[in-house]
Amino acid sequence: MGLSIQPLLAQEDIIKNIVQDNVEYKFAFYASTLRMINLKENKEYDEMVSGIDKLLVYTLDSTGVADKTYLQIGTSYRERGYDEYMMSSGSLLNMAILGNPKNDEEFVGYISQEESCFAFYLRGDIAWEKIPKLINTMRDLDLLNIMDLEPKKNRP
Amino acid sequence: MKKTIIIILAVFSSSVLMAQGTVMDKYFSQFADNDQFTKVSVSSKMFSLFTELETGSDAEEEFLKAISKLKGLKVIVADSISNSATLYKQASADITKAGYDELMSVKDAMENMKFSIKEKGGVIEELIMIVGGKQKFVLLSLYGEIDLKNISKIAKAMRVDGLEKLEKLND
Repeated sequence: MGLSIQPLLAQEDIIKNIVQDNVEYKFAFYASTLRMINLKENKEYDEMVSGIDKLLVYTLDSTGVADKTYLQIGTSYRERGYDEYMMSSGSLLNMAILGNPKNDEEFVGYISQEESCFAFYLRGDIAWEKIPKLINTMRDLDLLNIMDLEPKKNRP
Repeated sequence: MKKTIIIILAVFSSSVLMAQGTVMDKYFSQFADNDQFTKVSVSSKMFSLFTELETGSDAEEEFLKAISKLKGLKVIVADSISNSATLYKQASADITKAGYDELMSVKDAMENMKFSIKEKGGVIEELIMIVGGKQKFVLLSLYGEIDLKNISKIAKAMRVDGLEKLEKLND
């Protein structure tokens, strides 16, 4: 059991080490907490997150965004053999989603736009085809949106 | 944030990195280090995630079936450039020169749009869309086995801006 858990922890640690000096917020979600934040009991949301074991989300501070620290996530995981699922670079959007080739239920990545950026690590099964509908639903129902949290510097 | 979501949706609605048309490769290389142009690529890996899913309805099944035959998508987007008209003309000429057949073009007061395809043995292997506006330029390449009847459904579900125009082909 210990042997099977160790490699998964190591994969998490890579992203953690990259962003640790520039983390604004860190969120760790598990199956139960993902269900808990669905205050409006949206069915689409529940269906999408039902297979997720763990989701780590880091929002980066302005230094991390300016320095493009997040780009190291793509580089580091590619060096470890992760497959590119999606990449975007340019002024409109910098984004990457990479997956573990040995485990099709492990993904890492980042999304950066304008002055905000978050990096994520996801372990579990996710209903990708529901993402567009889910995001729309989340926006319409005003579900918890971690990206809209006020930055540290603006808090009293 | 909303802008991010729209782009993410557009990206999901799209896709990869495989044997791709030389036209798209040329422009990807040309703008590789130019931040004014956002380059997006979605791989077959992303598509494969969709094909393993269980379907809940006929519409969902049809959608996933159409997705499963796609190999990838690349998009170049710029929304604040001064030479968009020149780029549109250049890309259009490159596409014609590379042997693509024009499928449809749309012109209005705001922008020009052109769809071209590359066919082999009766199968559409690549669909290219170019959009040229006042300061806007979009070049999109979708490749794999493409069924035009389903492209508009994919575009609609995934919100690929522009591809919904292909619905007119079904009329």
